Formats: sequence, structure tokens, C-alpha cells
Amino acid sequence: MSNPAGLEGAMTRFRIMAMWAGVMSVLLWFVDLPIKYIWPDSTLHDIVKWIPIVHGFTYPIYVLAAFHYCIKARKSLTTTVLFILAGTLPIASFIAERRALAEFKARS
Amino acid sequence: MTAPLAKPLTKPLTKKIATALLSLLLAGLFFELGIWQLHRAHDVRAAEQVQPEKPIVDLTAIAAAGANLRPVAANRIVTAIGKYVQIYSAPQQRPLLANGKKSRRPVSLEVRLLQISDHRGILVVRGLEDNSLQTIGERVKVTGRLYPRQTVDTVNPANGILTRIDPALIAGQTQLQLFDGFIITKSERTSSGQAISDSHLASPQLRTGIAGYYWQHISYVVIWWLMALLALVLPWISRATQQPLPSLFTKISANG
Repeated sequence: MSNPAGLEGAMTRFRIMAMWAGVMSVLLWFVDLPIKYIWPDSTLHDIVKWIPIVHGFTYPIYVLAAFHYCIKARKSLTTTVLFILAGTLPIASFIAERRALAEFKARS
Repeated sequence: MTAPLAKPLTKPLTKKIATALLSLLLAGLFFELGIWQLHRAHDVRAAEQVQPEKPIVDLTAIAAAGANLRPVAANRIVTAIGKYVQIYSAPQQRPLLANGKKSRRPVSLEVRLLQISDHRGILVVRGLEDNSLQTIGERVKVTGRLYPRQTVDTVNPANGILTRIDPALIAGQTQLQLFDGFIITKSERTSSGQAISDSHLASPQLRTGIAGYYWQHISYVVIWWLMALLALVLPWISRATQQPLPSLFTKISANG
């Protein structure tokens, strides 16, 4: 069975943003936050202060990409919410990306 | 005849109303979280700005001994006249630099107790500690910025050592009623007007520590308001497009 029109593009955009959000979440959770709370006066924090800002501004793009993909793939409300929230956890967006790809290949 | 029809009609309607209410509730919550982040962004920006200096004022005019330092008194440049009666060392301190950031290198500071009148006193940070402690027996006029007391110890307790610059640590060793906080000197003069020391620490305004950066909070505003929008539209769009494709498992089993 073929995939509906536009699903491939939506999935590609979602995969790119999922990987980006995953990398940014890893940096946020394992680099920025430890530096911020373990060495609060460190000059290291000035070096990594771009991480939460970049993560903050790109996460909405991930949310829109995940939303669009879930609509195209006719995901349930619960799955859509889980896909959107996956961008906030370091590993979850990678899992979501793998799952989306596996489903897409299985449908093709 | 109508009774069997009433049930299936009521159930979807109740579900729709419940969904709408939940959707509105979540959207309202997310919108408020966005407003909260917007306020934090404004607070960060306000805290980063240097406030215009207010006129120099006598310490006793804005603070009282034995009472907590009022927020309006902190950061003011004050004058106090009195005699140094005790010398302390405050090791492992990281004083503020002129740009408002803390020094990276820890240093030992010379702190003295200034007796202002018969029964009142305040801690005064004179500068970096050196081995030749200056004897100052006469009355001095100290001008400097008033800071709130420190709350975190930098070293373990020892005799003559201030683990942090906090008058509470010496309250049991003196009969004086102590002012809360401490002064970092900008100038020290004798009663005849002669300068005692020219080397003083930087004493910039203490800025409020609000976590995060302006643009970080603005990005969170965008996220929360986007979430509010999604909370409003997601249940309806999801329901409208809910015609499931064959699932992954169906496909796999069909292939298998």
C-alpha cells in the first residue's frame, strides 16, 4: 500500500527536526544544565549559554514538524502528543524518528 | 422509542464538551506559562541594567543596627564614621569585579569591625589582605557600597577567620549591636580629611540573580503559546483526520 501524498516530505522534515531536537536535548541535559547547577559561577557557563537559546527557538519548529507528520500519518491524539513531547527528552526524539521511519518503510 | 436514541446522542456530546473544556483549560494554562516566562524575560533584562546611583547617604539614615537590611538599603553608597575595633580575615573570597562578575581567583580579604557609636558597629571590607596590617587608631570616615550579608561559607571555621562576611558570625564576640550586611570601601579618610588607603576593591552594584537569559525566556514564551494553540486545535484536527491507515503490525503480518 502506498503512503498518502505529502507523507514522505512531512516525515523527512520530522526526521531532520527529531535528530536536531535530540542532539540539542542531549546538549541541554548533559552539558548546559550540569554546568549551570554544578559550577554556577563558572565562565564555562558563558561558553554554553547558546545551548538553551538555540534549543528553545528550534523546539517549536520540531513541534510543528511532529504535528504535521502526525496529521499526515493519521496518528491518534495520544501518539501526536507523545511525538511532540519526545522533543523535550534527550533520547525520546531519536526513538520517535526511528519509529516513524520503520512505519513509513513498512507501508511503502 | 426515544429512550434508546438519547443515549448515543448524549455520549458524544458530553465527550465533545469535556474535550472542549479540557482543551480550553490546557490552552489557558499554557498561555499563562507563556506570560510567566515573558515576565521572567523582562526581569532578566531589568536585572542586567545598571541602576542610576542614588545620592550618598549616612548609614544610620537607611539602616538600623540589629535589624535586617532592607532591600532599598542594599546597593546604596553610604558613609559611616567610627573607629576600627577588630580585624578579621575572610579567605577564599571571590569579590565582584568592575563588570559585576565574580573574580575567578579566590583571595583573602581584610575585614574590620567599625564601631560607629558606643553601641553600634558594621563590618567593613577594606581590600585585599596583606601581611602588614595597618594600625588605624583614629576615627575614620568610610564611604562605600552597602551589600547584603553573605550566606555561603567559603572555608571551615577558625579563629579570627570569617567563613563568610556575615555579622551574625561575630555577634557573640562583641557587645556592639551590629548592622546587617557589610560595606566595601570606596574611600577611607581620617577626621582631618587625609586618605588612609588608595587601593580599594571594585564595588559594583549587586545584580539580582535571575536564572536564564533574555532570549532563552522569550523562546519559552514562543513554545508555551504554540502549545496553547495546539491544545486548542489538536483535538479537533486529530478527530477530523482520524481515519487510520493500516498499522505497522497489520503490514508486517500481511508481509509475513
